[in-house]
Amino acid sequence: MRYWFNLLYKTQGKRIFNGVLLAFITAFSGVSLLMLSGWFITATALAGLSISAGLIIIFDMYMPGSGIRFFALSRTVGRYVERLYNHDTILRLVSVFRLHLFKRLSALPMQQLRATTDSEWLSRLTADLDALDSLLLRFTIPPIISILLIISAAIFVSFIWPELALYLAGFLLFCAISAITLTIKCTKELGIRSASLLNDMRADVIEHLSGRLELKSHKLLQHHERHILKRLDELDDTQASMFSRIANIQLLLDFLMVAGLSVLTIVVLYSVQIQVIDGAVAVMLVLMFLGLTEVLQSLPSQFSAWGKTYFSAQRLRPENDNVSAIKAPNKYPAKSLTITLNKHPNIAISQVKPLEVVLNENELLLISGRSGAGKSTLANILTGMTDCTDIKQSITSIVVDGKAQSVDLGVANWYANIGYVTQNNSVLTGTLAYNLSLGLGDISEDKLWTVLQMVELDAWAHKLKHGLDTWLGDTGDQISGGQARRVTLARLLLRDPKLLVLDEPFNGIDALMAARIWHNISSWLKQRTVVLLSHERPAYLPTDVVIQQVRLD
Amino acid sequence: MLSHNKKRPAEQKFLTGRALLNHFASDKKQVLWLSVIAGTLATFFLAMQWISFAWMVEDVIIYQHSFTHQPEWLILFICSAIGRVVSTRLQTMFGQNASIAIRSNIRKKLLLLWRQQSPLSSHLHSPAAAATQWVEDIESMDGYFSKYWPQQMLAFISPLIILCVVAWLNWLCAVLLLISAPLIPLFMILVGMGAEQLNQKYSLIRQRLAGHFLNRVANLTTIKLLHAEQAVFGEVEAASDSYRKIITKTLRVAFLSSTVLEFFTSVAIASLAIYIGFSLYGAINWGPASSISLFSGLLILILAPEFFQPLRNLSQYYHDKAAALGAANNLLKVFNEEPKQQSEDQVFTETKTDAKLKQSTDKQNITPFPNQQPLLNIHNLAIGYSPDSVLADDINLQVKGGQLLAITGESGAGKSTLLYTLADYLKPLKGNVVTFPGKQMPIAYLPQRPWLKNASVLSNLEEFAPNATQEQMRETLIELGLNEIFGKNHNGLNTMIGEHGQGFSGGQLQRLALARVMLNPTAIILLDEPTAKLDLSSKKYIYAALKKLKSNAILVVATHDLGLLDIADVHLNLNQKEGVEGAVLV
Repeated sequence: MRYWFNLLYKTQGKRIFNGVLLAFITAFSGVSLLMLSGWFITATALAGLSISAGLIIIFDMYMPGSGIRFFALSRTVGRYVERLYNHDTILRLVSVFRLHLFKRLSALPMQQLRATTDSEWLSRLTADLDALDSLLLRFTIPPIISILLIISAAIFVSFIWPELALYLAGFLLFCAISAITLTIKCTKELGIRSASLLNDMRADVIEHLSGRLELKSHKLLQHHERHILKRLDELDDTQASMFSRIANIQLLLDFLMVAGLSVLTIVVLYSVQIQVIDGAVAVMLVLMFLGLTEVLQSLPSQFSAWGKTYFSAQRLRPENDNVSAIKAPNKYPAKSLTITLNKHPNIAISQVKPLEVVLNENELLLISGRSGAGKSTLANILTGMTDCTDIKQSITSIVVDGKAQSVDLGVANWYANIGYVTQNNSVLTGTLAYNLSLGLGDISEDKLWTVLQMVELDAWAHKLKHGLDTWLGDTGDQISGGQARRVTLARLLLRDPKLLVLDEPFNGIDALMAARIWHNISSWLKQRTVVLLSHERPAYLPTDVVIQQVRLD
Repeated sequence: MLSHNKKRPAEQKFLTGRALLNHFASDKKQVLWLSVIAGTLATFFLAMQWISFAWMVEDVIIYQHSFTHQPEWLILFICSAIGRVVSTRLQTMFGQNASIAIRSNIRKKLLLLWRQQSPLSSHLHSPAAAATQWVEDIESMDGYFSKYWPQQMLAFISPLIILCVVAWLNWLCAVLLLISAPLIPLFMILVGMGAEQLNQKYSLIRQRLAGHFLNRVANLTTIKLLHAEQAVFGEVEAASDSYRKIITKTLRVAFLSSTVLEFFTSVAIASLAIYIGFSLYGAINWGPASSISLFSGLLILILAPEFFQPLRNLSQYYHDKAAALGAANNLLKVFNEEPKQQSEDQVFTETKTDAKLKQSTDKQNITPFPNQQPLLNIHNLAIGYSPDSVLADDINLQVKGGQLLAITGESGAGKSTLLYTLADYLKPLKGNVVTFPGKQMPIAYLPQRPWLKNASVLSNLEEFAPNATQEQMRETLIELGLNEIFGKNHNGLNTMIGEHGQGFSGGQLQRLALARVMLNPTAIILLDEPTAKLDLSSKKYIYAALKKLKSNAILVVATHDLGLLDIADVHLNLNQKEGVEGAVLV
């Protein structure tokens, strides 16, 4: 949590200061309005009494009157401006947090990124980021305002009665600080517990529903619900005890405030009686206390979110920032690359004998094998998406252009530019043109149409209402798996990868079309080193094409 | 134990999210009302507290009595302050208890609906989205039940109590408060309408910007592979910034509504203070001004903000309500879907108007349940998701125990749809499916990508075969060629199956799923492409297992695999209408 607090104060320091100032003006106006009004009517009552008793006194009705009007206005305006300003700060903060998180995630080595595609992980990320609002709205502004108000109240009272000011400030500060610390201490664990229960229940429900087809036919759905219901009961209990703890702390604080109010009332009334202060001041002091109470009272509920926020912040914390990211060596296109693998846990054949993979410039290498033989694992190794330690353990040698290289360095780094068509199609929400030209800057439309033609998407794209500007993804047009596959292929055709790794590139595309597309792109492929992964020699590969083959069976 | 045996009351339909919330709130109405009563008591004590305070102040300041002159006022003051605090605690407690119970009820009800409805319902297509509803959406209803619901009652009751006290003191002040009260909701509605309009205007762009960040995170691998990080950094920043600007535009209007309240509260205090001050000074002589004393003046002044406080609370909880309504509206689709009818008469869905069908039924003279052997009888069946798009029509066949029915056809011909219809997930568009044993008995259905829990092999097997012993499990796994599990690198039955089946190949997962069926075989077993994308050795194990399973059951297999056709007894090609190979002649 400290990490995010730091980030908050570093980036938004000035805005926090302004926001706190605005909130303070608002709260100050509120308390002052009440105080001044109370003083005013008591003073006028006393003045009225004296006048009717025949005394002549000079009482300025208009100064306090305009003061009251001023505070009424400044409170209203202050509240509006403050809310708007602080919400804007929050949104800026979210933007900073997002960018920060995004940069951090993208600095992670590839192999750790695969988790990010998980929709489950993503929705957690959103919820966690949202929870960080509390850092500003709950944990920063309210306590600062409370303390500032107490201090300014004390300063004000010290002009009238210094001793009382000291006691008052001491008492209120004690209440504020103990309310905050007590709330955090008593609810943090329960807050974390309930956040993590909700999180586990999510996983349970997803699992339950993913299995609904099998469970339903077996009539086992209800039986399987027991996992979820158990946790639900636990959640109910946790929440009940957390709520009651918060309410009890609130009750305690309220009691303290009632005690304070009672003592203050007795003290000021007695002081009036012995004529230490006048009646109007006495009423003003009580109303001031009342106004301060209202501000302090919100503290327990604000800080009850501590556990939940802690849980989220903890999950978002930078995971081993000092990741031993593979330092990119001088990238140059290797003419030949030989990797020898030994005893890789996911590649069965390497358990039996060392597996040698040879990539030669501009040659086509087919890696074939049954499902589960380790094709995708091998593809990930070649593209540098596998765990470094994994590489160190199982790669016995890397030979580049005839020279042996240190195994510590990742394999993929020998290529400045890799094109990798993974098993998943990744189409980003955005226009079709955006999807194709992502990261390439300006690119001519003609080029886009050329590659679309190569993957036989041009007819489809022409038919779209907005052509290349058609929005794809969640809030736009849905495209089929086969189309998405071809979009990912077309995307690579716009680039100039030296090494191309195609993991079953024509999945979901019928054989005839696959053959045509292969034909369309074959001249482009000939200029690069291509690794093709497939069960067996694919039918779309013309029979006359000479290939190197590595069998994993 | 089974859900379909229970008598279900007529299902209730909810037209709006609000109706749904009210329905569930009514279950805990007593507790919620207790919360309202406690809140009312709190207001009552509040009035008492300040009456006694104002009394003491007047007594000491105006009449210059000692404050111990009438100690009962001091005691009343302290006691009512304590009473108020305790009542507030009770109000919170009742509200929260009700909220916990209600949310638990909604969650259980949702599980029940999921159980009753077809697993193919569109709202279940994304389990993650449905889980979000079950967890987050329902969680977001907390504020509505625990705070907003009692407060919407208190927003009437509490101001009324205060108004009575004020009216008793000075009718003019009461009139002033009374006039301002209805103005507040009026202004708030106007402001709310304005905000809604802005919301609508930016709805699509807001959705896109909101989803932007997550989408880019999800595709980070692709972005990195394309070396587009720098471009996307800029995008993320720009998108968040435009999002902020749009939201701020909406908030500018939306926040006006609470400002209206704030304004009235401030103005009421200010104008009352000035009116009371001038009256006490003697500058105002008309109306009830002359009756104002310090007691009544001070009391009115202190009570005025409390008159508005319940409304302010209500508006503070307003976003709780909005969140709950949004969540409830999301749930409407689930709650209003027709629960799947499981009663017997529905199984025989015959199109009565189809005279031909009736005739042919008579002609065939089928005896559906001969001597306890499993039987599957498909008659004049038409399948599909809607009557407008019939995938396959006039399917007639009969399969007995010990037979394997292979369904082939191009992709999209309706193989999976037919399996869904047989599993009773989908109603036939026409014709009927009669099975023995009936639809109440469990059947096994194995989809193309089997479901495996993120748990040990043991608990995965146990989930479907609670009675199987560990020895049986071990034998079955070995029979299916999964010896590896008991090898060095694994942990036997305690081997964990990771999320998304990590650590196992597709073929191994498929066989694990089949092991569950073998350990607890049912009379009818439906398999969707059990050998697709598998290598030969995996396939061989599956063929052998299917042969074994076949002896006591009906197997229905949707497949492309020619090897599987070899062990099929009946072959239905959905692309060729005519001729059902090997089918019992009908």
